[in-house]
Amino acid sequence: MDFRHTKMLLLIIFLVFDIYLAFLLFSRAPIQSSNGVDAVQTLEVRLKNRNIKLPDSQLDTEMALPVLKTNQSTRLVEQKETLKGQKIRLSDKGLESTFDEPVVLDIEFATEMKPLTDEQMAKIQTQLLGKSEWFIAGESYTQGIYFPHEHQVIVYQEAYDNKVIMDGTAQIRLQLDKENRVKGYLQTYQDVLTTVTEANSLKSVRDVLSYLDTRVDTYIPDGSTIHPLTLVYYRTNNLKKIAIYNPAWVITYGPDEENMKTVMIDALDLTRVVPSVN
Amino acid sequence: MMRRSWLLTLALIVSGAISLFLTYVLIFGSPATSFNFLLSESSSIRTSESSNKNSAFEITRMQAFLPTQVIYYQDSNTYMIQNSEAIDQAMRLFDLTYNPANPLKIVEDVGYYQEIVSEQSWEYIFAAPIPIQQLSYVLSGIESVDDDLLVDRILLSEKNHSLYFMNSQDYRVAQILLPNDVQISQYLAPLQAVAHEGVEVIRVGLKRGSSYLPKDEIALPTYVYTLKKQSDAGYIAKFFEKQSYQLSSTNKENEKKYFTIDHSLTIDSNINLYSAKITVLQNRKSGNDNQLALDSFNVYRLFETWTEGVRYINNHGKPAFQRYLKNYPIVSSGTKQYALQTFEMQPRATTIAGTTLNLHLNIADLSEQHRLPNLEMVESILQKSKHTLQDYHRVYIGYVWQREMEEFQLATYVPAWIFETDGEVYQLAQGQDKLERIDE
Repeated sequence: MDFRHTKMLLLIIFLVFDIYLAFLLFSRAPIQSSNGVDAVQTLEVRLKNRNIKLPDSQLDTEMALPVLKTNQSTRLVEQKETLKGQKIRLSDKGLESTFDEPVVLDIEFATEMKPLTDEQMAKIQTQLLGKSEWFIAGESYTQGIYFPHEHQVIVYQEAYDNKVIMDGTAQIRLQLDKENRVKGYLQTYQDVLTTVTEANSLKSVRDVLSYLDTRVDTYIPDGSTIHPLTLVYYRTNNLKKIAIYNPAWVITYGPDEENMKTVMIDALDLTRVVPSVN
Repeated sequence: MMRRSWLLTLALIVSGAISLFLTYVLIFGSPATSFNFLLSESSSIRTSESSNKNSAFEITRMQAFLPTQVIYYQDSNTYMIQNSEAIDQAMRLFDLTYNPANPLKIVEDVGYYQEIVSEQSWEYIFAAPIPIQQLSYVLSGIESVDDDLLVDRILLSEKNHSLYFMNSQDYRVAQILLPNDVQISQYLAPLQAVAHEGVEVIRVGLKRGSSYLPKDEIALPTYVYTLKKQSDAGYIAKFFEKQSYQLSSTNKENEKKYFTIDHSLTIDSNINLYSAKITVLQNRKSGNDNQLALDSFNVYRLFETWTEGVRYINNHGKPAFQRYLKNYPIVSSGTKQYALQTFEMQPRATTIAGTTLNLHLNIADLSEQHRLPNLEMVESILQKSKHTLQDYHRVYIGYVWQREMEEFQLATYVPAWIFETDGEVYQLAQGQDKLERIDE
C-alpha cells in the first residue's frame, strides 16, 4: 500500500469519526426552533429523553399567594379538659390522645396512599372530627391523606384559599388499627391565619422541576413518574408571639411506587424546605 | 496527479481539525454553551432578560449621598420634609453642568454664611458633610474638581438665583449661579406635593454646626419586622467574582473565612455579622475625603441589600453607611453594625464590617404608636443632667434597632431622640426621663 492509499484510508476514518462526533453533539444540544421557544421545550425534551413522565398540570401557569401570619395559640392547652373518653398527654409534639375504646369508622379506604375524597372527608368530619368531646377545633381540618403502610390518616388545617398547612404544625394524625378503627391521634393546631403581604407571584412548576433536576439531593431518576404538584403552606418562622407561613410546592416523584420521594420547595424563594415538624 | 495529492492532504488536515474541535466541545463544553455562537438573536435576548430578572438589588451612589431633609419657610415658621422619594425626585430636577471655565469660588466667612442662611430659602440637609464631588447628580462635572469642600446643606436662593453648597460647621460656601432661563419653582414640584407632611422645626446649634429639630411632640409607630439572613453564596459571588477562593474555619464556632491572596471575607453565622478586607486598592492619599467616600462606596455596594435607604456618614475619617427606615436613620442598641456598615481605611487596605441581616416582612399588627417629647422637654431633660444640645455632634429622631431579636428572626424598631457625641450614642425614648447610652 503506497502513501496515497494510506492518506485515503485516514481520510475515510476521520470523516466517519467526524460524522459520529457531530451526531453525538447534536443529540445532546437543546432543540432549537425558529419561533424562539427553545428554552420552553428544553425541560420537557430533557426529561422525556430520560423517560421521565411529567405531571399533567400546566408547567407555566402563573399563580400568586400571600405570606400568612398566625398568633401563637394556647387553645389545645386551655381546652384539653373538655375532651372525654380518652387519655391525653401534652408534649412538644402536640396533643397525644389514646381512646379508651377504639372508634369504629364507616369509611372505605383505598389500598394505596391517596388523598381523601370529599365524601371520605365528610364522613370523617361527621363520625369523628366534628365531635367536640373527642377533638378540639376538629372542624378546621378540611383535607386528608390515607397512608396504608403506616395505618394512618392525616388530616390538615386549611391555611388560605383551599391550601393546607403540610409541615406537621397543623394536623391530626389518626392512628388506625388493623380493622381501621381509630386508636388515638396526635394533634397540632394553629389559630386563624391572616395575610401579611399581598399575593406574591409564585415560582412555576417548570421552575420547580428545573430546580430539582439541577441538584444532587433532589435529582429526578431516569424513568421516574412525577405526580401532580400541590401548593401548601409551611412555617418559616416560629416566634414567641407569632408564626409566619410561606407557600410551598410539594412534589412526589420516583421510578416506582416503592421508591417515591416527596420534596417541599418554597414557592417564593425556590429553596428546598425541610419542615422542622412532621 | 500532483494536484489530486495536494487536495487529499488538505482534506485530511481539515477532517482531522474538525475531529479535534468536536472532541474538545464534547469533553469541555456543554452543548448549549458550545453552540451559543450558532444561536439566533432571540435566544441572546432571552438570556439577557433572565439575568436581569435574577440580578439582586444594588444600591446606587446617588442613593447613598442624597439629602435626608428639606427645610422650607411659610408664614414665618420653619418646616421640614423627610420624604426620601420626593427628595430623590427633586434632586434629579437640577440637572446642572459645572463650567470649568468658571471655577468654583469657596468663601469661608461666618458673616457671609449667616447672611445666606437668613434668607429663608429652600434648604436641603445631608445626614453628614459629604465631599462636593459626590454632588455630580446635581452638578455634572463637579466630580473632577480639586476643592475639598464638604457639603452638609444646599440652599436654593430665589433672591440670588443661585444654589449654595455650604458647610454649617466651618462656614464655607460655594455659589453656583443658575441658568437665566430657569425658574426656581421648576425644582420644587415634588417637594411642594408633599409639603403638607412638613413638621414644624427649630434650628438649634450643636457642638459643631446646627440642626433642625421638631418643635412639637411627635408621634411615630414602632415597626416589627421578621428578618432574613443573606446567604454566604451571595456575598461570595459579588466579592470574589470569578476568582477561586479558599475556605478555612476560624477560632470561633459558626465562623467561616473565605480568602484569596488579597481578598478575605469572614462571616459569623451565629451573630450574623461579616467583615471583608481588600488589600489591593491603590495607595490612597491620606485626608482625601472624596477618595475615602468613593473607595468605601465601591466596596459597600457589593454587600448592602437594604432597600429602605442608606446614607453615607464620615465619622472622624472613618466612613460608614447608616441604614434608614421610613425616612429615619437607624441606630442599634446591640452591635452597631446591624444599623451601620463601618469601614477601616488604611493606605493600601479597605476593611468593611456589617451584618448579613435584612428586613423581610413587616408585622403591622405588632406595631405600637409612640409619642416622643417635644424639643422644650428634651432640653429640660438634658438640663437636669447638666447637659445642653450643644454637647452633641448629631441630634436627630431615629429608630433604635432593639438588641433582643428572637434568634435573629424578629427585629423591633422603636422611635427615639438620638444624641451622638465623640463616638457615643444615647437615646431618649417614650417615657424616659434621662438619656440612656445604647452603644455599649
